[in-house]
Amino acid sequence: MRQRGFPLFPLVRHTLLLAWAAVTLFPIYWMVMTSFKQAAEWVTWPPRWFPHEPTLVNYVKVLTPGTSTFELGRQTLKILKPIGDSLIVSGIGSLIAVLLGSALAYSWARFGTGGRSYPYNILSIRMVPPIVIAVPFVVYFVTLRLLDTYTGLILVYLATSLPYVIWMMLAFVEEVPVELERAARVMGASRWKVLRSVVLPLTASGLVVTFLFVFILNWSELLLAMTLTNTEVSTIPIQLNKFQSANEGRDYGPQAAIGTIATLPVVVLGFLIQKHLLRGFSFGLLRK
Amino acid sequence: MRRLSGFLSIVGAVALTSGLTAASAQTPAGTTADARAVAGAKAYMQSKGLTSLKLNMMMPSIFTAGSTVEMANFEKETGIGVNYFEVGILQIQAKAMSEAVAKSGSFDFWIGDPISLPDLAEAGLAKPIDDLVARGKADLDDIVPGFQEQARYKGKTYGLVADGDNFILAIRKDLIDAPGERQKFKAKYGWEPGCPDTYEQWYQLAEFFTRDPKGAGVPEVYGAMGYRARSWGWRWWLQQFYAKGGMPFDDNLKPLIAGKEGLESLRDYIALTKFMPKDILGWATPQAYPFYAGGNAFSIMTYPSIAIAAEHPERSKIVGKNRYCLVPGYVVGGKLVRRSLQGYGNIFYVSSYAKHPEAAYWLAQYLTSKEVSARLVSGPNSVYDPYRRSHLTDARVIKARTKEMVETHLKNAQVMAPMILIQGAVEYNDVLDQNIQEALLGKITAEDALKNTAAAWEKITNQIGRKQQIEGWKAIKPAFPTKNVPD
Amino acid sequence: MTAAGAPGAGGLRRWLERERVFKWLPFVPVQGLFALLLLPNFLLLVYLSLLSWRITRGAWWNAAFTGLDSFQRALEDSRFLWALARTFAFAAVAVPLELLLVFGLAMLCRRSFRGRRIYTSVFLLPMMIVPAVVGYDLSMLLIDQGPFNQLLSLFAGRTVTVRWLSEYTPAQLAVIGADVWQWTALTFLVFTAGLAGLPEEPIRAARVMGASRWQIFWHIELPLLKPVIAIAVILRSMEALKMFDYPMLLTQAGPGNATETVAVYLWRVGWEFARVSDAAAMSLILLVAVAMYILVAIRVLRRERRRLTEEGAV
Repeated sequence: MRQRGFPLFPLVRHTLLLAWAAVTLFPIYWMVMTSFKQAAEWVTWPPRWFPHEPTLVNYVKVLTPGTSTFELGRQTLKILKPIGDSLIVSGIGSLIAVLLGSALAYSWARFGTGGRSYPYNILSIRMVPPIVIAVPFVVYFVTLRLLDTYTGLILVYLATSLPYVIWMMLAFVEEVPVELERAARVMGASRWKVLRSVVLPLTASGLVVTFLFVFILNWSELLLAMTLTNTEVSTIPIQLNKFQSANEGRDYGPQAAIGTIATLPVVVLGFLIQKHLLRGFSFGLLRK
Repeated sequence: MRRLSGFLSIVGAVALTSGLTAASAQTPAGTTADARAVAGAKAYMQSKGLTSLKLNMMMPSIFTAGSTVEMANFEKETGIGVNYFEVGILQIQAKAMSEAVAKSGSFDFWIGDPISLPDLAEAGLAKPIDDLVARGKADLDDIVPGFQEQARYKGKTYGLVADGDNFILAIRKDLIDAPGERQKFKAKYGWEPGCPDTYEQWYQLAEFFTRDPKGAGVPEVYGAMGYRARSWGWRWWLQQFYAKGGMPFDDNLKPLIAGKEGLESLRDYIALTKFMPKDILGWATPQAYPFYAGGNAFSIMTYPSIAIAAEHPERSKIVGKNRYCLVPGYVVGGKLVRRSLQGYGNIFYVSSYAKHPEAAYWLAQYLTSKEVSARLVSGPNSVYDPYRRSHLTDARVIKARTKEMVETHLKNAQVMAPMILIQGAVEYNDVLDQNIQEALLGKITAEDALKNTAAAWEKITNQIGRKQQIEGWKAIKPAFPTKNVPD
Repeated sequence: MTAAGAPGAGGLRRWLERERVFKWLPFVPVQGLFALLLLPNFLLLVYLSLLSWRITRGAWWNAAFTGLDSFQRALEDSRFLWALARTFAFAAVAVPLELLLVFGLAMLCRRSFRGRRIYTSVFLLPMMIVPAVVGYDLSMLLIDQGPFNQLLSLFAGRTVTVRWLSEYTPAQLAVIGADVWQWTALTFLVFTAGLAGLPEEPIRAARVMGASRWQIFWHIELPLLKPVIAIAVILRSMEALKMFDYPMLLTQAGPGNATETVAVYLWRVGWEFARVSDAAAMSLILLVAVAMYILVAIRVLRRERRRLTEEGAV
């Protein structure tokens, strides 16, 4: 396709894109820089765009084991346990969600199970603001002895991730030509073999993308995690929240270190999947 | 020698027996409250057949620092240690309420804002500890009267006070003593600058000492500081309101805040804010203290732990340059009335659903005993402020906080008033706070702020049940001071 | 082919092969999960809303049935109604803003050019950062003497000190800004997928017939993009109406009530004021409001989807 005949177009494009890229990167840049600054440089006027004396002390402070240390009257919260807890809860929850949800998407796409409106009804689950069910959830979980357990939170994340999984996998499953599957069945393959040999390879990238996407969502979730946990489970958003209110320490350096560390896994994963993400979001509406 | 050892073994046997049976009903041995706490704890452990135990304690993350050393000491002596369950200070209420519903026993004891005690007591989470107090003989008499009131609700004791958080006013005497300042001030306002007696005088001091020498629009020195942030600001206004002679309710729980006292004190409160940093609407202790200790303000009305921050050898730029003043007041009916608000106060509460409530109590008694509390109060990172008469004469406390400060602080305690501590306190105060902030932002007038608050308060009272509230209010009224000014 | 008879020899495997069984396999655990986990809570929520229970009034199973009292109180609670209006208003500002931004970005990134990969990678970054981190990060940037004000001063040529977190409207802008900053990435993805999926034939045909670039865009591409826009609006609105993290973390719903979204207010009513029944009633009202809003969008979505699968392309 020909470009516009506007000679300066590439220049304009780059300017605009750069502008938004700068907006996007600015807070991230600042956070990363702060994580390498010493206390005296955190809040200065004029602000320091680059640490004059870079240091790793903030990272050291947050990466050592335990829940917190106390120094100079300021408390530094640690990040190792929260990272572990977040990985467990988000990882397992998202994994099971993907397995169940893809299977369900396949079933609906091929057999129409659940009725034509099923995906739309499922979406309505996602509509519910978590605050709405937070209070009854506490009561319910206590009765089931699921409060402040990994199992409890995993189940919750599983339930809330399923709608997204189903929608995304629908798009990928519908791309698999039914003829291929039929052909395999004619040649005597069992349904399971069809799934393994035909459907799975063709939707592999979709599975990966879906997993990572709901993983990101669960990794970031704050409200339900705060409501349904106390001492045993402490995910990253909960841990970060202890810093956040105006009434907690503005201990910027270690906080920035935690922020950077908490972001890294997700950013890495995100880069891996971004090419694939573009495909997953058509929601079955668009032609290939 | 044999007689002695025989005697000792009898004593030992008696002690052992009473230790084994003591778990229920007897005062543990010990001449001091902390010794009794240790003995009681050991007896408890024995009766349960445990050698070590970890209690879960929920507390605001900001407070943990001061107490870890003492917790460790207790653990060494009794085997009872503590797992901290930290929560942001503004989420303590939500978490405690959640536990009142969940009844899961996920924490044994906690520290929280006193305004949440009435609700948590009614909800059944806070455990009345009168029996334990009587058994352990906690040194309640030594506590300056008034502090322990915030740990009581409807006649029962629910907690042990660990902290005396009535407000104090700190001013920079070095700025007053700077050459020429005294004369200029006196010439302009007609009185010798120093600790203000009235809010008007404080206003004048703030006006005079706000300095913007370069005309940058941002003062280098702010005349005053106080908290104006959401969830905090209302306490500072309440103190002024009390000093005007105002009471929040009458005996029928009809709100009285929209009257003359409320209006005038709120207008003064708003007027003083103009000498404060503009960001003050978002600041609490972690921002305010370093700001003042960095020498950026002339005065600050705040919690007494400001003395630790302002006199800290490493973190403060104004060591030795502060004067700690009695809280100012208003002249009411020809007489000066000073009021200091108990704006928080760390109190140890025990959970009814705790697995080891008695152990938690012993630890609390230990931490609030004369000896240990003196250590806690004088620690370098401490947020625990003096509250006992014995602190007045304790060398460590004086060294950490200066003699002047401790004396002034405990004098302020003679005129200290409680916050509004009836059921629904969180909601009453939240509505008040919200309206005050809107008035501060200029969105509504002071008059409307108070009227809206009064109307909302009526609704809350009706919803909770007026009779109940009247009862609760009657129970807290004795906690209000009777003196106008300290002796 | 597999016999559709009774499960006999071959046992379990054979039985599972049957279409009737096979297709329900994933449904059983999923529906079971929803039925056991979500449904009882929803029912409990409805039940609680019909009491006037507070946590300070003893056990909820002993509380008296008061019917629609809580709903009445909720509808008379001006703070609740304001929070509701505010939340919808935030969404109404944030979502179109994102749509416009994203539209521009996606159009600019449409054709392949050098560096496109890098730009798109950067644009997706914000989505991957935990909102709690975003909250803390932005609160550090937006303080009076922070770098953001410094940048503004640079552009404005004079010292600018907007009090982002302690004044009414700036605080609201800050919260909306945080949302826009973070979730533009998601909308960007949807749009890019949409643009990439546009069929080529109609556009080529129009070009051949001499249509101008603008006409092609307005009359062909835009209508084809309607389903994409609908999805973007639905997704983003759903999430925007639940806004909790940013107000909580950036401003504690302050100053005053400037940024108190309905999620924050419900949190307060339920947990801090202990008025659980009121919170339950308000939750249901909120749900109805959100559902009405989303249902309209879903109607559009279903219609477009049906049109495309049944009628084919334009």
